[in-house]
Amino acid sequence: MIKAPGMPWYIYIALRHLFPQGKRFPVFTFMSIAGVALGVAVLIVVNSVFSGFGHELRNKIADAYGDLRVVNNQSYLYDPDSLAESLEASEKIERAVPYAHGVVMLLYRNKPLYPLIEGVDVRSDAELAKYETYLISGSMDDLDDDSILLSVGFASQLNLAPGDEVDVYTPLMGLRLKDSGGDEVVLPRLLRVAGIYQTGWQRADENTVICTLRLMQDLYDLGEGAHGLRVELKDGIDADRAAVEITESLGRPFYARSWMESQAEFLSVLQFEKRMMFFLLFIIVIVAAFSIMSSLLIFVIRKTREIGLFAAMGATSRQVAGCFCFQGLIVGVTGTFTGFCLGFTLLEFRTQITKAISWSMGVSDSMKEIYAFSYLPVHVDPFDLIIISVLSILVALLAGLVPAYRASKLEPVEALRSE
Amino acid sequence: MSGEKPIEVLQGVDFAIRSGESSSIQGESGCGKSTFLHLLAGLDSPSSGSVLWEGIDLKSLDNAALAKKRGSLVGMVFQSYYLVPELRALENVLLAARISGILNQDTEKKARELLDRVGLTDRLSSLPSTLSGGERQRVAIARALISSPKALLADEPTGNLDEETGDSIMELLLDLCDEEEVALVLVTHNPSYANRQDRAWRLTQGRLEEQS
Repeated sequence: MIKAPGMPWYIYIALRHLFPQGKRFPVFTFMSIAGVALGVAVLIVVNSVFSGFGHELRNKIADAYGDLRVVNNQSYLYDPDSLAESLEASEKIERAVPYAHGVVMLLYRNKPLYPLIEGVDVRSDAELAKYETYLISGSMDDLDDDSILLSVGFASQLNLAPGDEVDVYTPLMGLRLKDSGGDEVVLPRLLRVAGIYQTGWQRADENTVICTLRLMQDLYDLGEGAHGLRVELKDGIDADRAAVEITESLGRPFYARSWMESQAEFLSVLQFEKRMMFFLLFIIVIVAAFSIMSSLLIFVIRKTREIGLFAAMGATSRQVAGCFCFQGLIVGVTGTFTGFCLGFTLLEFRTQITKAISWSMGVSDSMKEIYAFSYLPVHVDPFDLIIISVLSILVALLAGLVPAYRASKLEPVEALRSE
Repeated sequence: MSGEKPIEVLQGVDFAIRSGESSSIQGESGCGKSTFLHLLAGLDSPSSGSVLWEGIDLKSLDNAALAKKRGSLVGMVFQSYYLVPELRALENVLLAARISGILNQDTEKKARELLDRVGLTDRLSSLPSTLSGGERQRVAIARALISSPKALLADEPTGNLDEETGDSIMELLLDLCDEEEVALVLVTHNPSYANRQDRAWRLTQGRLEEQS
């Protein structure tokens, strides 16, 4: 039976050159494919892990911040509940919960610290449930108007644990003292530590205190008001677009800011890091391409007489070029496919690999201490995969062009005479 | 400035061959025998004069048309066989048909018949590295004839073989050209092979002279 009768001869020969028959192990092919495969695998693994970290951080930021926040640019919200009710009437909005935030001075054993403080509406079951997931010690049941939750970073700075008590001063207390001309005695608010939490978003975990909205209204003298509404959108709704729509529908002085807009700088750094890592790692693929090019150039020299023979049998120089170009393409496609298999296998067994590396280096494999993840997060972006595969195949194809050009420029007579 | 002075290899050569005819070319090493064959095959072009295939001047053909015509009209056999080492014997023969674009069931049947005719029925699946010199040249002859060429140009086809094997290869070559009615141009150093052709030529100092 004729093998691949409809296949152009130059593709047939390219395949035979790369995968010779018999006992000969195709070392050149193996090394070339391995080079591309390793580059692609590393790109997939690093890109997916970077995306995974980014994705997790984005989720945690969105969880902690809310999909978007609505504020009054000129003052605070005097009647947050009615505004929340009107927003929740929208089919795009899951819930809108009032919040208040500010800065306080927290004193413990004569050591002052100035954390951010955020009052959350404990009437909302969803809010309670959310902070319940963040708690690493203590209980949400203990959170009342005389207690606070401390972020893990803050608690470790003061060596605080649930049950400890701290003095809290607000800026309003200072104003009150100033207004009284020093006649009034302003006492700090004594608050109990109800729990310690970790969101996984470093900024929130470094220096933030959570309390009830009621307490915050007392501390900041807000009455029934709030500084804004934290809005959770229904699944699949774009936060940026929703923020624009809400701003337009509420009109000035209200303004809705998505979590992406509020963290634009941080997110752009994440994106920049990922792009730079991609660029640096793609150098591996380029090095592999040079290896393919040099191997193919040597191959062209070794096959010079064969190229002359092809011409004697009626081959055109373009077909001869196609033969070597196709070899670069096959190496690129096979290497990319192998790299995908290798990359996804490494990602599948990432936990075991991480543990093995940690064990061999004698360090802890728990990332929870640093990232608040108990696992190596991975997010595979189809767009990244398309870019990796297209660029890798393209670079391998380009690597085949130089040898192909050289082969096509060989004079048949000179090629037949070569030794 | 060009560093090399052009060398005039062939001068005033007038040569023609018809289907079924055979001609031998003899001459000293380096006298231009291979260059003459390459000109006939259209692999090289003369600085003056013309090469005609079936009345068509090769200069009038572009590269693609010349390559296509070469694949269908001319078969070549070389002293060093030039088999593709990655292909088995049958695949080497069929490669010429692939390049000429005539690969089908009939050409496969013909390839098997040709390999049978050259005595390699049992070596169809053998790689060139496992074949002897004589066997390789037999595969090369079958390959040269697979596209049913009008002319077969053989450049010292027995040059790398011992006398006995060379004789059998020469017999085979002549018989096959006779059977297929293919014009044979044989470059050889062996006077006995040369004298067995319909016409014998000698190339001396660039001039081609017919031997009586």
